[in-house]
Amino acid sequence: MKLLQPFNAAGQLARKYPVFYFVASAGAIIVLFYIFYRNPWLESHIFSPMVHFYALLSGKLLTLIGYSNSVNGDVIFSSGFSVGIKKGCDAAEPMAIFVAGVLAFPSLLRQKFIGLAIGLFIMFLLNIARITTLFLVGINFPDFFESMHIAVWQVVFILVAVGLWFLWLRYVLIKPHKP
Amino acid sequence: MVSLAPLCADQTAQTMIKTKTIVVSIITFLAVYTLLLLPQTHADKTYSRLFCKVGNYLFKDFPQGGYVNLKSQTDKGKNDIALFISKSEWLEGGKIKGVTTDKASDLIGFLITVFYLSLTIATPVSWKRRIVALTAGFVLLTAFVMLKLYIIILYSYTLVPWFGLYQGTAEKESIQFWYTHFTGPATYGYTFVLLLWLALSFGKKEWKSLNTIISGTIQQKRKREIHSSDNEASNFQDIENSGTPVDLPAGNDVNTRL
Repeated sequence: MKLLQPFNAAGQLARKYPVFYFVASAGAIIVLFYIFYRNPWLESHIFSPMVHFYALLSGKLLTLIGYSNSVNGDVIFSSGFSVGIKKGCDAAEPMAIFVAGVLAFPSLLRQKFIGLAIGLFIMFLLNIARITTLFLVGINFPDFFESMHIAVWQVVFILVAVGLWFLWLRYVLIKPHKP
Repeated sequence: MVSLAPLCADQTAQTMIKTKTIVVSIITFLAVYTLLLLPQTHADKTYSRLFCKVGNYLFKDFPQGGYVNLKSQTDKGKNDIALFISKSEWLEGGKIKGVTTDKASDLIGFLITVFYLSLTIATPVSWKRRIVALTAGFVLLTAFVMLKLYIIILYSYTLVPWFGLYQGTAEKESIQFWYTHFTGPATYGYTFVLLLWLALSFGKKEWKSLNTIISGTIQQKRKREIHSSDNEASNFQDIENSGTPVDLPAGNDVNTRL
């Protein structure tokens, strides 16, 4: 029973100060994410392969729409333009914000799982769209590449993460629960 | 918190109005964000001047005898700031030798500031609340940006050994760490802005409504748990009281289920 005491205390805290508990849990998850995100082992074993995977899929999509290219590691090459997908371009941070919001909010495990699966999948697809469009902008409008990269897509991603969380929240709050 | 309100499915009309508010907020955000980023509005130049002013005020006399001077420049494209570092003891009659590096104020602070301002202006709360959030948020965000600038200056000193400042191995390592993990990635700023926006744009009223919603969800969850355990117990009673023999899997001790 003593082992369960911290969980009971957390439960009591959640009931007494729900918003504080929610914000604190979300904040703690984000901090944890940054600790993991900067870990060299995880970087080389998880985040780098993920970036390579993004490069590979984006390269395939570009080939599909008629832009010949080759992919080497995290770089997509073409005769006109090449783009390197670096850490930070993996959408991991907006994903972490979304995950933190979903995990910290009191809801059923099933709802969390559905929210995470759909939300992360959408962000994954959106990131491929981002890499592909940036590549196309780099080829066709190189002057706008930097603005698209920094001023447009970063903000879009943060807003999408927050927007998806709000949508999930609506789903959790509106959906009638079967007893 | 507008989209948090609809709790029942039959509140369609209310939800529709709220959806309209959300759409208006998104359009406002896009309009303000685009407007501030347009070169014609000169918001970037205004910010770069302010950046230099605040930076010079805070860091001109840099700790351990450093001397810092920030100047806005227009001939280097995106690198609109000239960061000059030296030692205050080398200042002789208005002349001083040192090192100048080019920095981009948009990456350090302008973009996240524009993001924050647009987000706050687009938030559907009272104008009084928005003005408070804009003022307090701008001050806090500038403090955050100046902290980044402070680390950038420290890092710049470590790169020039002949200044003899911040050259200790441990000191250098620590500065390198903060530069790589805090100042280098531009994305941290956006997370900070998001937290700032949540903390400042929503007043007691909005937090109270969120409190009610979360409490309600927790209570619903508890009720469901109690309900499901009641159901389990009543199912068991049905089996006990039915009077008809029920086949149970071999070795299944019914009492252990309680």
